[in-house]
Amino acid sequence: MSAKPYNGRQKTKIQIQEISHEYFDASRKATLYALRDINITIDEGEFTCIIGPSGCGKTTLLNIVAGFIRPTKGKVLLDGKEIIKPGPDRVMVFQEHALFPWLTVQGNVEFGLEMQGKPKEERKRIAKVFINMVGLGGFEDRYPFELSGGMKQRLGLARSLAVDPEVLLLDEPFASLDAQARRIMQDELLGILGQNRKTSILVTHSIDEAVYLADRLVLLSARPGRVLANEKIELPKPRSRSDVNFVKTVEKYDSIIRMEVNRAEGRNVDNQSAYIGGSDRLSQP
Amino acid sequence: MMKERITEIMLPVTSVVLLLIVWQGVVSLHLIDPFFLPPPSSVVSAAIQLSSNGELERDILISTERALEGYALGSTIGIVVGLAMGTFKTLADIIEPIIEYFRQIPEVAWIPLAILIFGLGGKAVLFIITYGSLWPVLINTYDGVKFVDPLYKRAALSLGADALRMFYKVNLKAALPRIYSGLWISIGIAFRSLVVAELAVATTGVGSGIGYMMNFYYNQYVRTDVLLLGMVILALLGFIAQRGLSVAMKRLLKWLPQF
Repeated sequence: MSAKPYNGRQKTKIQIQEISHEYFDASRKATLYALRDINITIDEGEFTCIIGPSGCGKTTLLNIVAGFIRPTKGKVLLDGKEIIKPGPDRVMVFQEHALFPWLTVQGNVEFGLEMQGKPKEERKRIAKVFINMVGLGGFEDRYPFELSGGMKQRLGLARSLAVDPEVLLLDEPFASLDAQARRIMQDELLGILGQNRKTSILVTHSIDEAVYLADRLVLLSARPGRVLANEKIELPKPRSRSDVNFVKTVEKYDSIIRMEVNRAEGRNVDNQSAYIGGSDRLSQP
Repeated sequence: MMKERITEIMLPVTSVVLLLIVWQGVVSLHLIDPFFLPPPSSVVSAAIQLSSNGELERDILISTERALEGYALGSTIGIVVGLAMGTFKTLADIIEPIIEYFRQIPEVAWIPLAILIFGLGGKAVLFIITYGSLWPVLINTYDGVKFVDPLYKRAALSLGADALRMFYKVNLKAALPRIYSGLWISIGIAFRSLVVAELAVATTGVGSGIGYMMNFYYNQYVRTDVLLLGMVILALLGFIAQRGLSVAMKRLLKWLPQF
């Protein structure tokens, strides 16, 4: 099963324009930039992975696209329309899965459909499809507390996909899984999305994961996050981790991130450009 | 499995039976004067005596009614206000200082004033019980709604929930365990404040219910066995009430691991 090549024109799905975001850091009593001048264009059907050192703002960026945060500058366009609040057109899959504990598996998956006003029978039918798609068939009447970590993530995925969003957002969805379960879930995710080719943005700490999954890889710098790299990964899917190009790509990004982290930590001694306002003498940790 | 169930029931039953035997034995062997600690036998005979003319049943009924009424009233007010406060921050800011002050006043402190306002009899008792039941429910409901994990809200927003549905499909459901805590605490308080209020009202010579019964028979005939009878009945009523609550809420809370 190799990746379908893009045919004809690639429609732009998401435009992240001139995004900058400040926030007030109470512990340092200063306003910090989380993100600076982010410009990214994502095409329809593209699976984009955002990586970068800790604190680079990748989750903030995802939250901005999701609509949970209004950026202090810039805007994000979905199909040409500005994003101003969260909605089922851009559903988020959370790292801590955020499943509703008072609802069964069936209830959780039906939740978004209920919000859309779909009638009961239709909800049940659609939910069943997605529950089976993620491999939770037979567990419809279980409650989240009865599920394992991997199963919870699958439920989160099913819940989000059921509303047929335009864009799927994933915030380090597999970070809480063990290495084995993580690899399995990555393949399952590709399998599920492979049928749909849904525009997706996934934030992760794992370079390996990003290179394995991404059609497009975006690398953010250390805080304040700037786009250091934005390239298409053209390796055919499903990818082999032993493939020489795979390994090279992972190595490349690994070394870029290492340099970036060193630079950022060295820069911390007189870190003027990361701050606006605040004291000019920073305390050393 | 069967064995577990048997031990589960037998253990508490055995310990209660043992307690009764020791209690009866201690008195029958004249180690303690039956006047100061009436044995189970005299408690039972008092019960038989007082039910011969329906007096006991009537008092139990009256007291139970009051306790449940006051509990229902107090809980309802507590839930409604708690939900409102948890949802509307400005309302919470206005009411919170008032709550912080009034909740410090134990319900029993209101007894003299309650009698003045509501007169002698049931209404004053009802007020005390309502007042006592109110605060734990209100505070726990408020906290329950206020501290709903923001992650649930985000997930719901992402899935397309509007403000109204966010309230009753997310906030309310997520707050249920805390609301239950409040209800559980309050039901115990309801039955405890019942007897105190009834006893207090009874000292005026008028009244009804278990507290009145206890007071009357002690004042008139120094019947300590009736005192103990009243205590036993109250303990039983409170116990049954709490069990009832637990069973009633079980359906709503079966998604919690501890259920």
